[in-house]
Amino acid sequence: MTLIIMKNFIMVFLIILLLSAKNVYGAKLESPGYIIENSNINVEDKVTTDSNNGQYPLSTTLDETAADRFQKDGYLIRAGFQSGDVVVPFTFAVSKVNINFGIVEPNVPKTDSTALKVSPGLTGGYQVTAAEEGRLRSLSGQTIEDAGCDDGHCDEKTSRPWISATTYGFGYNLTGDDIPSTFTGCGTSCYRRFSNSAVNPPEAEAVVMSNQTVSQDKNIYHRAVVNFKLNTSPIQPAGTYQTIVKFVAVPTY
Amino acid sequence: MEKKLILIIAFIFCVTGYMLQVTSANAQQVSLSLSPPLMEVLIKPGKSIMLAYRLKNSGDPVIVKTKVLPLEPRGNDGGIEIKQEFSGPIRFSLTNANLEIEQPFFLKTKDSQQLLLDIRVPEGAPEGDYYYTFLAETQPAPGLEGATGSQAKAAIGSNLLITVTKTASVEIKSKIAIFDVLPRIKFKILDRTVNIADSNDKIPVILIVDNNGKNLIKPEGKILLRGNFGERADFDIVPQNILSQSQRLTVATPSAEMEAKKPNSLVLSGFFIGSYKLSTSLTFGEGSSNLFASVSFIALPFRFIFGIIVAFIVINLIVRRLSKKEEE
Repeated sequence: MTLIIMKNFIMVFLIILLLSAKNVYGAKLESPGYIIENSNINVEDKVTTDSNNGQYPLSTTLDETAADRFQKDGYLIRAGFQSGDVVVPFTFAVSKVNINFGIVEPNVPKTDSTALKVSPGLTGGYQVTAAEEGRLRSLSGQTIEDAGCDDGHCDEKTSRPWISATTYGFGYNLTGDDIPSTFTGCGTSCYRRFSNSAVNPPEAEAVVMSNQTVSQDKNIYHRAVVNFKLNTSPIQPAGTYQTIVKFVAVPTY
Repeated sequence: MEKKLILIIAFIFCVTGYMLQVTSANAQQVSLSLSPPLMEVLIKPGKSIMLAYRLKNSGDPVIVKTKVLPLEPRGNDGGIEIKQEFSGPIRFSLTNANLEIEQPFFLKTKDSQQLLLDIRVPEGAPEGDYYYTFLAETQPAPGLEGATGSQAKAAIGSNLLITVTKTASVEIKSKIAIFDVLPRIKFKILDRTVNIADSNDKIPVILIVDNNGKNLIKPEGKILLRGNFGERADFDIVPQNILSQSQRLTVATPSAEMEAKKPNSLVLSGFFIGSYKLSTSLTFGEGSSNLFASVSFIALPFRFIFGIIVAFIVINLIVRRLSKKEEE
């Protein structure tokens, strides 16, 4: 009995679906003389058949007034991301610039953190990148290696777990808004090393915060915390080690 | 005598109380803002212009240095890579009386500084686009003595997109690289791709546009959704810049979501049943060629049907069990 009801239900459902299905047209181009219907039409800007070879007068992309002004003055300036006549600033803050590990003992990991805060304003998107200007270095020239993590496989892009007290190096992880997926996927015990801009050739700065579709609201802030970690080996020469980490915040274009 | 003693004791008490007051010591913080965040310039060779920026310090007093560095697009989601070394024919300088590029200056808390950036295009500069970021970078504070650590430097940038043209024309060579949906099920039948989603799924849509020309372009247009019951929805494409020789994942309002793993142009959400067609039409200015593309998908209530089947099975089992008990 139950099976019969189920069969009837499925039949009725399929009939409704078939009745509601219509031909799917990719694009319907029509004029008094013809109608073209096709499933998928991708029409490229066919430069080879364009008599202008892709060149258009400025009035194509600007209004006539602006194009005339360019011809008269020889230049035209547009300030982007405006709301009416107001240009809303792009704002970036770092809560603490002195990252202090204090007195560092071998096999005792030390951590410290700083918060990054971005207000993209009306830009619609932003990114923050980070890089170290050389490894941690003492006055006598000794350096501390960058983090390799427990399995030796973290680098400037990929984070890996770093839990062992006998894994040495200098690295960081991120928590908060708009952070790379390598941290959201791996968890708070995962770290990676900084890109190093002092090597030759310099390593590209790594993205630490990024969001390309933010609300255009000057009152919204995006916040992330950078957690620095340092662990030294018993054979690391004694000394005070310092480096500089640069955070660069730019809006989207 | 007693009065004098009381006065002395009161004085000592006040001084001691003042000396013992503990004031909070905050680590130095940086907070800068820069406007405008983007400048687009069209300019003829041989001309020069001046752009006005405003740098404001809302944090602790800082020493700041400005610089101009080339930028390139990074990936196709609007990311940027700032080059380490300056390049290109364009010349930049500050026309402020007492400031130069790469020269440090002091900015107090709550203070702001107008920066007048002079851009000079030499007479023989090749036509084309040149992209830069105007940066204001803090100078690191001295490290803490006797302590191992790191100093953080903060830099804030404003992007500068310059098109040099002497012929008063721009090159528009664009192409829709990808227009597709990311449904639950996708397969091919006889060279035709079939996209199937559950009726309650959120369906991401991807629209990537190539710019193969030598000037930046801004797409304008819509993504249209049409359903089999006559329902229709329009989504406006946000006219974001696509730099020359690059591609960009365009964004449509109101629901684009950019996650690191799953960037998309638009997310369709709602209850869908039957077949749907998505189409897009892009233009890059009046008189430029239009670009079109389309894709379709079918939505079925898989989860609903599965739930009904499970409910039927469970009801059937219960009914049979009850019938057996009655017979006994």
